[in-house]
Amino acid sequence: MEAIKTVSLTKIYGSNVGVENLNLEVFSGETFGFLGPNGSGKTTTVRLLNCIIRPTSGRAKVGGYDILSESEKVKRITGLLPETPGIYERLTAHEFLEFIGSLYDVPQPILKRRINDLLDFFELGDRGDELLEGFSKGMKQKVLLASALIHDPEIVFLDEPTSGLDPVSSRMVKDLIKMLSSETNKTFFICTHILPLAEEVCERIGIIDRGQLKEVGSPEELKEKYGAKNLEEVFLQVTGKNVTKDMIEWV
Amino acid sequence: MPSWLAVAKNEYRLMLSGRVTRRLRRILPVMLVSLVVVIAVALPLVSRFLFLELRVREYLEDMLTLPLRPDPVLSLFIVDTSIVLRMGAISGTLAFVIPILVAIGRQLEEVEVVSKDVVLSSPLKPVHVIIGEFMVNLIMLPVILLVSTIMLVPVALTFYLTFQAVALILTAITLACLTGIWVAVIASTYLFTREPTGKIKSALKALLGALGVSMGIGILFLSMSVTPPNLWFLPSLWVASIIHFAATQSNITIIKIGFTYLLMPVQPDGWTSFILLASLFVLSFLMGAVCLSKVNFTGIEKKEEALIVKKENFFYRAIRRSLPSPLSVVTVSQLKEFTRRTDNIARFLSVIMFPVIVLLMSKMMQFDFTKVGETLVSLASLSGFYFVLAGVILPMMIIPYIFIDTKDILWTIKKTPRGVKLLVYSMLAETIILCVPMSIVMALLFYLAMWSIGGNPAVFLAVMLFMVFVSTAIATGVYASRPVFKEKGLGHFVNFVITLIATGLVVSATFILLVIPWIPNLLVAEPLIKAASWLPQPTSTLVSQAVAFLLINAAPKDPFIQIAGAVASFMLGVVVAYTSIKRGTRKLELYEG
Repeated sequence: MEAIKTVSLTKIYGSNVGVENLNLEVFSGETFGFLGPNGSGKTTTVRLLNCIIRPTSGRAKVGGYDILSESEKVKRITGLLPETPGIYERLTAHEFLEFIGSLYDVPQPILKRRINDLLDFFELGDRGDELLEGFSKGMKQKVLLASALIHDPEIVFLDEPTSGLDPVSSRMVKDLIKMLSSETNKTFFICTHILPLAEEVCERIGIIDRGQLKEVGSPEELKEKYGAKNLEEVFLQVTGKNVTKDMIEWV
Repeated sequence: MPSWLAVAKNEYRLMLSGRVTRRLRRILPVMLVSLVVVIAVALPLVSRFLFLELRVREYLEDMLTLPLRPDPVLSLFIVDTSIVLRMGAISGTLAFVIPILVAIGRQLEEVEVVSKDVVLSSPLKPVHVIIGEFMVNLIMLPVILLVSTIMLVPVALTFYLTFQAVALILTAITLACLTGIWVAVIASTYLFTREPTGKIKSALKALLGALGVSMGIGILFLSMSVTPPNLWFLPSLWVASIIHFAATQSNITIIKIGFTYLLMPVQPDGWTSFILLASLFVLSFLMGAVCLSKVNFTGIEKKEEALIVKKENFFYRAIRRSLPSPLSVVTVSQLKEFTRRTDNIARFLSVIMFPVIVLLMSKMMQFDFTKVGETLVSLASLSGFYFVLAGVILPMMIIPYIFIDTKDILWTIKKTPRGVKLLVYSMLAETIILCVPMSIVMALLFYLAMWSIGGNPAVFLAVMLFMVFVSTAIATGVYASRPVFKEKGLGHFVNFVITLIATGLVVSATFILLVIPWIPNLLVAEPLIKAASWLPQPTSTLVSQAVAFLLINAAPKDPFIQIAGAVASFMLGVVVAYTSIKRGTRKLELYEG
């Protein structure tokens, strides 16, 4: 069963194309990696699928619900870690998670338990009553990850989930994704630049460039198709990006 | 390029970094200085041309309208010169206080947003930063000179301003302005190097806010006051004395009271004022130079300290109990985010300066013995104006700051099932919760300021609360429709103007319904009658009579009509508030999507 299905999904901002004719299927329980260069349309896709913005044309269903006519239902079953994370810096981690949980109508006793569990999991249990303004970037990212999971969503969208995290925390996030993916039937839609992360945790990968979906397949399929040693080579070939090695003389 | 010039250039670029203003970077200083020169040269020429003609016309008009004047010939030579002192006081206040407010305000903003690592890691000396800061702030000098010279036009039309007089006036304004800039730059350097704690910064912001409000209100009252207040120790009034001396060639001011004239010595006199101003200028620069030698940029980085929040207090618990969930949780979160930024609270509390200054000024004006009747009308209309303004501004001290730096969190909230609707309603609840206690205090202070004119404290309170509710809803709707996420931005001004006009229209409609047989009717009537006087006859008379008729006769005497009117006003407020919130929510849902 498809957790996400888009049909000719298009978003145009004035004269700029955000996403063009996106046809994509992500299956229930799958961990899907969405790769693409900066400005390729990853975040626009995530925003469209989370009903934050409206498509210019095309259709999409998330969890079986239409993103236009059943947006409230879509929002209830999805969790999102945004690319540019917003946070109320004058709230404590505990208060912030309570705030987000309330927005999703999580009952208070359950919410309290989940907040404690998530803070403990991310090793922030003893810092739950500190203001977020004093947190490092990685710690804030952990709080935001917790906020994306606080209402126990069926489908989780993670836009650069390991951004700003140290290797230990990054490992923790990868393990969390793997664990949730295998033990619960959650679907993960992960946008990332970190190709080893995608290679390690994603079952299938989509590569988007200039608003258009260029390739979809498992990492192995893609590597075989392009005769590449790793995902990085696939990515560079698909997007046509080459590293120029012209050194500046004075360096 | 010298380091101080690099600092100045960078600061100048930051100052004019907007989309429109960046195009003016090259031309702006030239344009400002040219305008000052043109006006400074034009003033004596125009003054010389208009001086006699104006005096003769005034004389003829007086002869026609006041045939019983005891000595019309004498009146030709005696002109009310107190206007010069009033205009001078306003120019002086602008010249001295505005540079301080602007320069410190800019530095306070930068202290918050700019990482100093880049500056600290460069081979820059403190003196370079300070001179650079001073240089860039000099852009204010031509602006102040321009505004001051424009304000002196009425003086040039009444008195013959010579080139020497204009030069003396511009010198005085320049001295006051340079002193203000220098004092502000030194104070800014203190902030920059000492890295004040949040509380000190908040206190400074509140002080600046209070100073700004006091200056604005004070200037208007100064312009209304007939006798100049005896505040000889203020540099602003030294400038006024110098301008008075330059324009009238005298240290005696003449106040026109009906058909008689009152002579009063200007204190301190023109030359003493000039010496005092020049001394202040020299002293401030010397003291600044001494302070500079002690400035050190090393070791000033703020220490990161975790702030552990204690258990929730009664205030938040009460809100949780009184509002339905999840609105209560979201409102409490919003409130915590707002109130824990102490500068927000400081800014919010600075609105209290409105009634405080009005109260002080009203007490001062009651002793203004020269034009008692006119003073009371002026007091009523000015106080009424500030009463409405305070009611509108109070929510505007909260709502814009809820939006600042929250663009990213808006995406998080837009993603939730209830979307932004819950956020908008929580903002409304938050603002009302904060505004109600302040409204009560402000209403009582305004009542105390205006009690000599009349009114009932309950009416003051009801009207203030009504205005604050309507203004809160309109401002929330306006900001939701047109969110502004940066602290600096033209959008804040546009939103403020929209809110002011919309709330003003609703409140005016309420007054026009005459459901409150109370002095604010004057607020509508007086400007209308004044505006009508500019219309051609017979329209002018008809409009004035219609307004006067409404004012005198249309006030409902029947209690039933009064209640119906009150209900109608209330309904009007509710409908406008609801429409605004509804529209704002819809617009915010569609924001960038």
